[in-house]
Amino acid sequence: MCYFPHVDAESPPGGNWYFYIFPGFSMEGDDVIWGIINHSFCSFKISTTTTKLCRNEWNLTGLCSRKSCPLANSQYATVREEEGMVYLYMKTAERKKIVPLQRKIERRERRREEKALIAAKLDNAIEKELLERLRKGVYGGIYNFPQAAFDKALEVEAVEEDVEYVTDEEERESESEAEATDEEEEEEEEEEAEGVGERVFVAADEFDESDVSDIEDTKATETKDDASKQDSSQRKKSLVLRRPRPRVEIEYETEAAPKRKSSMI
Amino acid sequence: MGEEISPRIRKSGKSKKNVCDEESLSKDECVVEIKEEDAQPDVVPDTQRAVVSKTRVFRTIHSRRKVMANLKLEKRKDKKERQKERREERERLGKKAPPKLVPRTIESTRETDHTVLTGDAEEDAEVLLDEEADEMASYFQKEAEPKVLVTTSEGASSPGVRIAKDLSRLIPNAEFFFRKKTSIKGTVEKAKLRGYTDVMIVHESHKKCDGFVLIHLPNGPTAHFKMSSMKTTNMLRHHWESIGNERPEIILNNFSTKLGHRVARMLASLFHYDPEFKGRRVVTFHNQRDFIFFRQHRYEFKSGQKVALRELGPRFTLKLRWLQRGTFDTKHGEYEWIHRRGEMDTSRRRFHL
Repeated sequence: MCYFPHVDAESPPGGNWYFYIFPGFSMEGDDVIWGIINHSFCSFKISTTTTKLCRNEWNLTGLCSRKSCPLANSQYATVREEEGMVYLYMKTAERKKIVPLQRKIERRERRREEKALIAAKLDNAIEKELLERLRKGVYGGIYNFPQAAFDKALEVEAVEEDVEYVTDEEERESESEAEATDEEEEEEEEEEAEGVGERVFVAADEFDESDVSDIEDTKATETKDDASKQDSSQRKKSLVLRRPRPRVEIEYETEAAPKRKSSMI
Repeated sequence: MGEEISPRIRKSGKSKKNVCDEESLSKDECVVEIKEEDAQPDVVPDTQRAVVSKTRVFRTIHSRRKVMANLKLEKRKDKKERQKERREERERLGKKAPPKLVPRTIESTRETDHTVLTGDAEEDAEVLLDEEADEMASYFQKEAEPKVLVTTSEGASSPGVRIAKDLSRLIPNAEFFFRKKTSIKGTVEKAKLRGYTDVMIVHESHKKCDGFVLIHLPNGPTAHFKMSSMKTTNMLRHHWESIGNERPEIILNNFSTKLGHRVARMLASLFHYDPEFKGRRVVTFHNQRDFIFFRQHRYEFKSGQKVALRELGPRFTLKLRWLQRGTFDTKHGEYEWIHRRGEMDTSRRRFHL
C-alpha cells in the first residue's frame, strides 16, 4: 500500500502541511506547481478585479505571483512576528532518505590507517634501512666515512641500545603501544567520551551532593600528594633535568616615563 | 526529582535560538532535560527560563564528562607510577635488573599465518621456487627493463591527473596518457604491443583519488588497491622539476606473507633495477597492518650512523582489495585473492600482507 501524506484525507488541515515537499520535487518541480496554481486552481488564491491575492500565511507580500508564492518556490523565506519577536522562517526541502555521509566501515578504516601510520614510524624505518644498506656496502665507494670511526660508532650504538635511552617522543609512542591490549576499549571510549576535556560551567545553585563528594575526592588526593611531596619534588627535579624545554626571555624596556614617577616619589 | 521532557523549553530551544543560544548543543543533548518538581516554569520569566534550562541540560553531560576525565586521569597517573617504579628498579639493580617489558602491540600479537615467510631458505623453499618462476621473474633477473604507462579513470579532474603525472615523473621510463574514452582492456592490449611492462590507473571519484589499479604485462597479475590520504608533490610544496630524474632506490618494508611478497614484487618491478645513487632519492612502500604507505624522500648521510630525510612527495596509502591472475578482467578473470570483509575482518589482529 502506498501512503501519500498530501492526499490523505485524515491528515490535519492546519499545521504546516503545505510545507510538505513532494519527494523528488526540487527546483524543477517549481514550474510545474506554479503552472497548476496560476492556470487552474489554488485554495489560497483570491481573484479581485485588479489583482490576485494570496491567503497563505507564509506568503511574504500577500500577492499571488510567481515570486512570492510559498508553494512554487523550493527556496523560500518569510519574516513573521510572534509574541513580540521577529523570526525568519526558512523553508527546507524534505529529503527522500538521509544518506549517511560516511559509512561506519569507512570511518573505522580511516581510524585504523591513522593508527597504523603512527605504529609504522616511517622515518625511523627508512633511516634504519638506509643505514643498513650503507653498512652492507650497497653504495660502494660513494660515501667515504672513516671505517674505524664508523665501527666505533656502531659499538656505541649497541651500548646505547642496552641502556635504552628513551627520548620524549619514543616514550609517548611506547606508552600508546604498551597498552595495546586496552586499545579496543579505548576505541569504544573515544566514541563515548568525546570532548572529555571540554570545560563546562555550572551555576552555583546547581551543585549537589555528588559534586561535593567529587571535591572531597580531589582534596583527598591533594593530601596524598602532600604526603609524598618530597617524592614529587624529586621527580620534578628529575623531570627538569631530563627534559630541557625552550624558554622565552622577556625584556622590559624602561624609558622616560618611569623616571618622572620616581622623581615624584 | 523526576525526569520528563518539558515541551515549552524544547520549543524555545528549537525555534528561539537567539534567546536560548543552544546551537552548541547536539541533538541528543537537547532531548536529555531534567526538570525539578518544585520548579515552576510558568512563574519564571521567559529569558530566565532559557538560562535555567541551559544549565540543566548541561549538568548530566557535565557530570558524565567529569567522571570520564577523572577515570582517565587516574589511569594515566597509575601508569606513570608503575613506569617510574620500573625505571628506578632498573637503575638500582643495573645489569641484574629484570628484562624490560615488551609492549603488547598489535604487531606482536598478530594472528599466526602459515604463509608468513620465515627467512629460512629451506622452509620457504616452495615460495621462493614459485617466485623464481612468476611473472615478475624476468625483472628480478635483470632481463626486462620496466616501461610504465600511467593514466587515470575516465573523466578524471585535477587531483587524479596530478597524482598520475607525479607518478609518471617519479618512475623512470614512465609515460602519462590522458584516458579519454578508452577501455582498460583496449589500453592493455595496445600497451602490450608497444612494449610496456606495467599499466597504472589512478581512479578518481568526487574529486578524490580512491582507487589504484596496477596491471603487470604481458601476463598479469592485476592488483586493485584502495587509495587514500593522497597528497601530490604540489601539495607538499615541492616542484616536480626539483625532484630530479635519476633512478631512485626502493625500500619495501614489512611484506611478510606469500601474498605480501607477491604484491611487493609487483610494486618493485615498476622501478628500474639499477638505481642511481647520485640522485639520493628513495621511494618507500611500507606495509603496516595491511596499509601500504607510499613515500618519496631525498636522503643525506650525515655520518656513518645518521641520515637526514626530506620528503619530496607525492604520498598516499594503498590497501589491497583484490589480486587477479592475468591482465585486467573483472568478468571472467581468476581472482587469486579478494578482500572479503565479512570473513576476513573478524579479528583486528589478522593481516594478510
